[in-house]
Amino acid sequence: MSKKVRVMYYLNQFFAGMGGEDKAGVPLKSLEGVVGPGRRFQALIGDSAEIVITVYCGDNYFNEHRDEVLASILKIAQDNNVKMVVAGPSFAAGRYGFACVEVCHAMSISLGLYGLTGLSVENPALAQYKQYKDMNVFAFPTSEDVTGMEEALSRMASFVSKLATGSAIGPASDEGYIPRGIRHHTVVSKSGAERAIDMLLDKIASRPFTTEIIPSKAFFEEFSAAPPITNLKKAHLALAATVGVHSEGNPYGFKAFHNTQWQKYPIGNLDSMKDARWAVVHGGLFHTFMVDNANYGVPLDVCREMEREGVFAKLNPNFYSTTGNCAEVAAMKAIGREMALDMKSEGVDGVILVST
Amino acid sequence: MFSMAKLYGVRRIIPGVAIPHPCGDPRLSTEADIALRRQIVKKALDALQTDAGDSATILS
Repeated sequence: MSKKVRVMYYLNQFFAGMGGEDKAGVPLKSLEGVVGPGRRFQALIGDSAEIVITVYCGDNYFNEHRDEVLASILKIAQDNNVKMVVAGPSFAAGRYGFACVEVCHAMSISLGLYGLTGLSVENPALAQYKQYKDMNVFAFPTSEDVTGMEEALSRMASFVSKLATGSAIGPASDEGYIPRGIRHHTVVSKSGAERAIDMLLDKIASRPFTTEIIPSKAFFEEFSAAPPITNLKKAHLALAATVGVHSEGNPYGFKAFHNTQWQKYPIGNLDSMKDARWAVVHGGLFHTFMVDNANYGVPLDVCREMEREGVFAKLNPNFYSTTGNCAEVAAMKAIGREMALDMKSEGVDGVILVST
Repeated sequence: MFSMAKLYGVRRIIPGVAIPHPCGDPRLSTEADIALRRQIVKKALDALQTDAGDSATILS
């Protein structure tokens, strides 16, 4: 009947079969046809659409060359006369999720394409998706990890079929995509007053009801910046890191993902992180560089130098550490608050926090 | 991922070199690597001494 909708599929280096963290720096590449999850996806979408081109990019490369990569993808999409982009699913992987949302959004605003992706509700890229509020971009909820691949692909595939046939797209609650916070006008049979009374009666009777208020700002908490340090030469500074540098042997049992704890480790007798041995515990980055030289994550060597030169008065004898990978916002907020209170009790005036 | 930090409203952000080695670059000689790390920390110290205001994001 109608022509198949031409789809571009975006993957990271891992799902394209190139390799793990050691390949996270590979630049954008494209190839005709389907790879990795794209194979299953093609089978699920059947005749409504066809993946004509697959593009993939290393997670680090994307984050470090975003504009350049997006410009190249745009060109590839145009050259291949693509009408829709499918990216991921990325589960809880932050860099990958961020790339998927960026690719979908960029193709939507520049070419008016539909974009479809999948991410878990704990993926930090969800905030980006909600901020864009892009009418053409839909993210479907997934499991935290790849075990939910089949379910995620099925959800996304049935939605692609719907988009491909030009069916009307309903609200998030009907279609199953993650709400973007977009309000649509619609005609209903009951007035606002009647609906409010119905909701109140349901509430009193402990029956389920659906609010019409969109909870907003859930991800974006307002906070103010700390005042500047006025006299650096008298300042007591601390180092903190979410890069996952911990004491050798990881005695506190930090996990590579989903941490809910933090520690401080003594560095008062060290001139460089290389003067001691450390464990790097982090599931989202390639460890070799940080294992060889933990100053990449905790820049003690140059801070000690500056302390001796009198650039600032004192470096705190402990550095503060956690592993920030796939962490829950609530857990990290608690960790941040506890670290800050501890720093205050040690008389710290300012902190340099290194994250990945 | 400084774009993520910016999105969440962090006011004082210094972009690092790369995700696996934010403070420095292992492709450089040891001296140049340390100099680069010092430069990044210096920018962080400058940011700590700057009024970050209520909405502005410092990128340097």
